[in-house]
Amino acid sequence: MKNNLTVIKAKRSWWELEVRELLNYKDLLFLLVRKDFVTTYKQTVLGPIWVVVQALMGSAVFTIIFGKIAGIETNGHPAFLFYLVGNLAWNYFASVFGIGCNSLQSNIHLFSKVYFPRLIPPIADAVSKLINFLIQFLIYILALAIYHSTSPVLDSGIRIEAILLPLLVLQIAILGLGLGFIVSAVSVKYRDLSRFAGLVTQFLMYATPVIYPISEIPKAYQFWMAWNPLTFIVESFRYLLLGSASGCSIDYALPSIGITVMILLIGVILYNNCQRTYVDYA
Amino acid sequence: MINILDKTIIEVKNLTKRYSLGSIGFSTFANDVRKLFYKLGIRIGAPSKKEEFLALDKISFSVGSGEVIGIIGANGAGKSTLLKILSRITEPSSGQASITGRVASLLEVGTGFHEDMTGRENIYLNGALYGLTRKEIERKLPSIIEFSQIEKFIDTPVKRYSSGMYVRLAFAVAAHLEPEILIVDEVLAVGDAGFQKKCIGKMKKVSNSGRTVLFVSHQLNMIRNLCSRCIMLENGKIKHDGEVEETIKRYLSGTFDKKEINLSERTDRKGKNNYKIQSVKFCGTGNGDDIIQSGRDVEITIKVVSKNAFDTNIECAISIFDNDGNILSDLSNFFTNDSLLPGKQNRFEIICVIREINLNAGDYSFNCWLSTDLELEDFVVNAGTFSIKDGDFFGTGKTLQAKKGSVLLNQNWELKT
Repeated sequence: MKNNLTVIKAKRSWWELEVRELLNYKDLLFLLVRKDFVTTYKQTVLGPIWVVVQALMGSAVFTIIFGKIAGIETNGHPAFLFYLVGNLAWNYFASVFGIGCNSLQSNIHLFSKVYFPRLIPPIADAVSKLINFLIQFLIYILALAIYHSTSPVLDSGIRIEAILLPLLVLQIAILGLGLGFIVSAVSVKYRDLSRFAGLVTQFLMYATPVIYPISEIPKAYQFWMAWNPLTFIVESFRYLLLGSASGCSIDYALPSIGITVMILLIGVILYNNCQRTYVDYA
Repeated sequence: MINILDKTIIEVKNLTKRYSLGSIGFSTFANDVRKLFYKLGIRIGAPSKKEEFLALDKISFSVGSGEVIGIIGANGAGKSTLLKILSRITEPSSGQASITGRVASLLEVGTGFHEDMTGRENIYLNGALYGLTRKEIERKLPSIIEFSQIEKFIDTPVKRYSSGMYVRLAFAVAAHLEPEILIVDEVLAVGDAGFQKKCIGKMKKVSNSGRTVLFVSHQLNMIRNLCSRCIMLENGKIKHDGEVEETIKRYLSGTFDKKEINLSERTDRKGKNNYKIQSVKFCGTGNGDDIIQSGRDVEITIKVVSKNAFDTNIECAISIFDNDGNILSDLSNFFTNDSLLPGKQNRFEIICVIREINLNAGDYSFNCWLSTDLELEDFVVNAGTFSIKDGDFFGTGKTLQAKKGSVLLNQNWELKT
């Protein structure tokens, strides 16, 4: 960092991304995450309990509407546990996607005043959303324990492979940020897309096996479901945390990971291209 | 006289920044689509050329290490754009700038401060935004806290700080960044006199230690005080680059329009026009030049011709508007009871003197009105503009930022217990 030459010029190559510079700012990443922790629950009475309420409510509503009223099959698991796991993955994706969509727009007060790698704030936000994920994860463990203590014959349980869960969480973060970056970059000039993103999120949830297992989809359509990278993620969550057998095959893994990497590349390139002159449009 | 020191640290070559004018909407979208098709080789009507504005127009200069350079120029001259590009906040449209060494740019103090966090937490976050590592901040922490003079409140959320404390803390971090190149935009204009002095002292120390400083300010005294070289920008170009006093002199006289504002050709006028306003001229008096500065006397000369002169009293008025079209005041001999009797003269000048004008630096426009015995003779709306430069209205060398208002009030402060 000392005495190196910086050349400021127009239209650098598309893919130019200073990864080394990103590493130089890792302390900033850490401090931004800490800032989020410190400030999120200031001046709320119930603090993180809101996250608990939100998770329980969401899954309870799903249990009543989709489980009891619509009678959707849940692979033989208790509907409430089934939806808790689905929501665990989905909620983290939705919150990271939301961050990504506004990553340029919501940091304009910083971007217009000081230079630092523009990828840092959204990454920091995605990391700090992990605390909500962890709280919901603990709720699930708790709920699972309660179910086990009341019905000893329960077939649901966490598999040993669940130690791989962090990899899936990483994939969610990458996918959410990547998609969000695309939205954020495109809506720099035309803000229409940021409105559209809300609709997309809703649509995407129904296109992802959150409220139903993939096994409920007719075989002929399952092939198409594989192109939604979230299918593999949510189904794998159920495989690891509930012990469901379905949906977590290599047929789903390859397209999911492939598409995720592609979206990340497109997202980062677009974002990186836009951030260079973003303040001119803001 | 440009000092070329042994080592060039900033090299700016043909730096250009273009902004497109007009708002973004369906028509720009349609044009973007056309452009896309055009690139793909499908012709569905050529994309239209956008209207553009050159904020910087092929600027070139170089800075040696250890130079302290002031950048001056009227609003819209391109100062902020230049700083933004050199601070890497936005990119140039063409041209390039090569910078050797770490840059800290203070376009604002307290960027990224979060009011729910304590002073100490904010020091860390703010320092990290400027590229310091946690270790570096830890090492500098005692010195930062001492400089800010708020040891007692360092673990209190900054929202409970007074604005003075807030600024002191923010500047204390900034002052400890120790970059090779420091870019500063007006931030010294904040804080109380004592703290300002301290900041200037710190800036001087920074420059004496061989670091390079780029400093934008409207406060010419501060430029005189700190800088060894001064660049004047005008309409996106370098108008002058050299010794400080010389550049400031050119700045003060260069942009001022000395010419009379000729109104004789104007047809959009009202009244009987027996008396017609030929021209209006604003100029500063008492300093050997024509510059209008806040706090100095201004002389307005209105030249009038009459077709058939009457022996009557004339009432003359000038209304002054700010840049946004808000009326600021109305000058007239009606208020002062000064009589203006031209007699049978066909040509005469009316002279109005404003003592120690209390308008802030900026551009103003005016209407001009002439009447006899309550009958309107001549009235020109939006007759012209004049600009006022920073002056020493308060007698302290300090000035009010343009955004803080256009009127200056003579004031005294004291404390009673």
